[in-house]
Amino acid sequence: MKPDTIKRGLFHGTPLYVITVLVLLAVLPLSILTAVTFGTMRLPVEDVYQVIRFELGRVFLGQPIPAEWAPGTPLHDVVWLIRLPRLVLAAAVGVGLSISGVVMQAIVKNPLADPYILGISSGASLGATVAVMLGVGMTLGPHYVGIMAFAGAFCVSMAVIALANVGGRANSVKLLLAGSALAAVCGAFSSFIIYVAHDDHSTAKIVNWTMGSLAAANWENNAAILVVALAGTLFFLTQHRTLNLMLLGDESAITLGTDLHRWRVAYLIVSSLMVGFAVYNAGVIGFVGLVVPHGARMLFGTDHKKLIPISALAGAVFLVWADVLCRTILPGNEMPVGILTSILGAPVFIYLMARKKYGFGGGD
Amino acid sequence: MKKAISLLLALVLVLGLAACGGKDAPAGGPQSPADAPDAQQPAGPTGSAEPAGPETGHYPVTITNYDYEGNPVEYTYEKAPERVICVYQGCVETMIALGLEDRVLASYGLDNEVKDEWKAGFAKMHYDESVFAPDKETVTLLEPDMIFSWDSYFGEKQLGDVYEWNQKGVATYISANSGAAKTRTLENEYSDILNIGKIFDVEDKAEALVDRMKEQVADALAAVEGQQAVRVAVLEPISGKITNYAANSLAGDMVVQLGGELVKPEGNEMGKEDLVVCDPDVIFVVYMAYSGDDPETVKAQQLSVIQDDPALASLSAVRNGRIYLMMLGDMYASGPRTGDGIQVLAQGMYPQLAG
Amino acid sequence: MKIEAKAVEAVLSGSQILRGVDLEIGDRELVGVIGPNGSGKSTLLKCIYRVLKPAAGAVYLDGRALDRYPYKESARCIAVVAQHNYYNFDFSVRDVVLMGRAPHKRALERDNAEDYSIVAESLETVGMSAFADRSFSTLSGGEQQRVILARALAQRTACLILDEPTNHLDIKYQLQLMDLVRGLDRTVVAAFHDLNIAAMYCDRLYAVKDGRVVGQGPPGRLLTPEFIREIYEVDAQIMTDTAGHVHILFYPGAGNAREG
Repeated sequence: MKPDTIKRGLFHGTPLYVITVLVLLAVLPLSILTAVTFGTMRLPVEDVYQVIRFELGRVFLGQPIPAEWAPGTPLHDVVWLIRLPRLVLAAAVGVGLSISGVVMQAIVKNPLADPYILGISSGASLGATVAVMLGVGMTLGPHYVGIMAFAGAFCVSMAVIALANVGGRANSVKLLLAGSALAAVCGAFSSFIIYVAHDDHSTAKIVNWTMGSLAAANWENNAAILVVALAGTLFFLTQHRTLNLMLLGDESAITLGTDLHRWRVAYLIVSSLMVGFAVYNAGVIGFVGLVVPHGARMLFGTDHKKLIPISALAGAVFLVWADVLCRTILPGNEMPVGILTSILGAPVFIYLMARKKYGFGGGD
Repeated sequence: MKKAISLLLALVLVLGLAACGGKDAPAGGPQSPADAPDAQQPAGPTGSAEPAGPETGHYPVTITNYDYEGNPVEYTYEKAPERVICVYQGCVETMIALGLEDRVLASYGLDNEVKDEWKAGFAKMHYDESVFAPDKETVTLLEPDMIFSWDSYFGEKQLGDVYEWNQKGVATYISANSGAAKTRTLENEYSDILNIGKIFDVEDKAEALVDRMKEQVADALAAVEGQQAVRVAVLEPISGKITNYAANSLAGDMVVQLGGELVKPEGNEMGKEDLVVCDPDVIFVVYMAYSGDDPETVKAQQLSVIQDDPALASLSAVRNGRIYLMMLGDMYASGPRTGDGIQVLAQGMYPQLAG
Repeated sequence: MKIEAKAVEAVLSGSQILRGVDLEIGDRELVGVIGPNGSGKSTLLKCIYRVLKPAAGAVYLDGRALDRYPYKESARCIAVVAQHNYYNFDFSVRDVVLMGRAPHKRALERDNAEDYSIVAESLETVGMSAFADRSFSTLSGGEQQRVILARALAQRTACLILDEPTNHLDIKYQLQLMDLVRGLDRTVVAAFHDLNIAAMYCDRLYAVKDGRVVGQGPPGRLLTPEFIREIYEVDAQIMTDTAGHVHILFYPGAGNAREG
């Protein structure tokens, strides 16, 4: 293979791509079914699968569950109410973050972008801080911290769009600048509130929040985030052409028949929704949205038609296994998944930068 | 003539100091395990150089307390402080419980309202609610002779470490269980109260208070003697995770002292699966209502995290209804409220004691 | 495809670049736009290919105002080869040319065999078929320019706009590109830096200076030494060779006597 061919993706052939997608589609449920057997409690593998089998039978066929594996038994509850929801959430969040990463990188035309670059994570943190420290939004019920974080993330995204449109249309550079500015403002406010409120106990709450964790997974929330993640992915799948054009820049895109401006706004809104739901359910989890799209690009090239499905599936599988690692790496304790993804992601990222051989600038 | 008088004064001074220095062992017996000689002499007003002779009999009193890092620090009190600054609930309430509110120059930092029985005393205390914890400048200008607070208050961004204050003649007392002591124990609460009693020469009141608490514990233990230890978890749901109070926390120690067994003595996080595996007999859910919160809402929210989660439905504590709420202020550097904490724990662990 | 510009004015960053330009380009003409730097050549073209909106006046495609065309439709009429920027991402040559089919595809429509064959044909036309799988960013300037031309060809438009296409190219590739372009049977509007290239290939020329059209006509008639002096402020001599090509010979410095 000529070295130049390698540069634009190791596997550039269509058949290989199709095979990979099919393989990943199979690997994902297999990963979940394997991961569900890991945990603090030593459970016999057959029992674990029996629980799942009976529950699926109940959900889809209305069959009753025998007492041994019924809800209320520790066996059932651990498998069906504790482990499985976490893994499904991990998959959904993995999809959401990876796709958002791909889209953000296209919007700002920069492979170093991640889902939080336009201030989303700072907005989420500010929302959480305001909720925890000032008690704002307590009337929203027991999930008020998550709701406030989601609101914060979304509001900041909209503010970024508005700010970038000041003094002329938004383009990638203005979006980036607006994102940085608002992230700084949110960070300043968060710090200020934390300082003034003067409460060590609540600070722990917020720190917990920003470290990302899948511990609070349950089926009701999962339904919502699964819908959002899948709908978002399908939407972006149809947008592959425009996403490709985004990488060419506004001028070229116009000559090819697309005014990128409104699409940028639309993509930002959908992407913020996906990230917002991820943040609401699991806090801030870094590096997934940065590294997964890169890996996919390295192997399959920049064409979004291939990038979107591969990133989505790879992100899901990645986070499912990250969750298993979190629960098993520290005996008796659980490492927040955000820390684990950073530990795994940072060296990968450094390696990608050091390689230098791919996609980081036209002149190389 | 002048020379003679100054010479005479100097002589008296020297004699006085010598007499002071001679008295090594203070009246009450220090808590310090180390038999080090007085680490610091207070640079107090030397005008009143009267030797602590037989008239008072109590002072000087040397107390071993902590610095910000948790190292032992000794301080000798020549007399009961009269200009005390108290910050944070446990400290404020300790002063009231021991009837010392008139020595308090200013108090700050309450998380909850003071208990009814102490309201009268509280009214006499100069509680300043304009600021939660005053800064270094404010405190310096107030010219206190003692600061009684928590470990965090002596961080470098707040008041700074104790040594500076001690050298200026301002006594400092840090509640042991607020972060200074390596492990937080029930004994520490007792010794804090007793130490304050010593410092202010109200040891009888202090001992009475502590004895009451010890009695509660002893009664509980007696009632369940010979029975198997109850398995307990003390948990606090915080934004999606569940904090576990381990053996080195005050709550954990209180459970152990009351004859219970902690299902997870190590580790400050309790995963849902861990909880199902441990399956404690009794669960105490900690809550903390800040000003502006509706306590009932907070209590209900915290409780529902354990009680209403279908994933935890299989827990025996849930099925048997043995989940009890516990206020943070009763088991976190709680001072005189420790007694309330003991009561909640004992009644929860041993329902047969109720009434 | 006929292109008309009527009284077009354009403002960029607060300064008036075009001060009322009229243009008329007939079907299948190869029209060149010449003028010194800053005269507004590129700006004028940008108004035609819609990257800039005129501050006053309008552009018409086949009699219909340009701003009445949806972007996609005008992209099916006009294709552009301009100075492109560096891309931070890797695309294959084939991917780049395939993007030329975008104006013809609806949102959910997939790339089909016809698209791929058009791409292959376009690459063939520009002589870059062997590079189809290469990474775009590894190509030389000339090769990249040809790929962009292939992309424009893949758009299958009636009109082609070239914004200083021969900049940064070796003479061999300059001529090669223009030979290619002339061989196409479509309306072409191109901005040129190099007078000789413009004179050699264009049917007609428009000369732009200080935001206004100062002359137009076939190269042979428009380009006179006086005219060139007026526009470019240099001395030159015009020569027509036996094949009918117009050549402009420049003289160095001021104060040289002109010949006849």
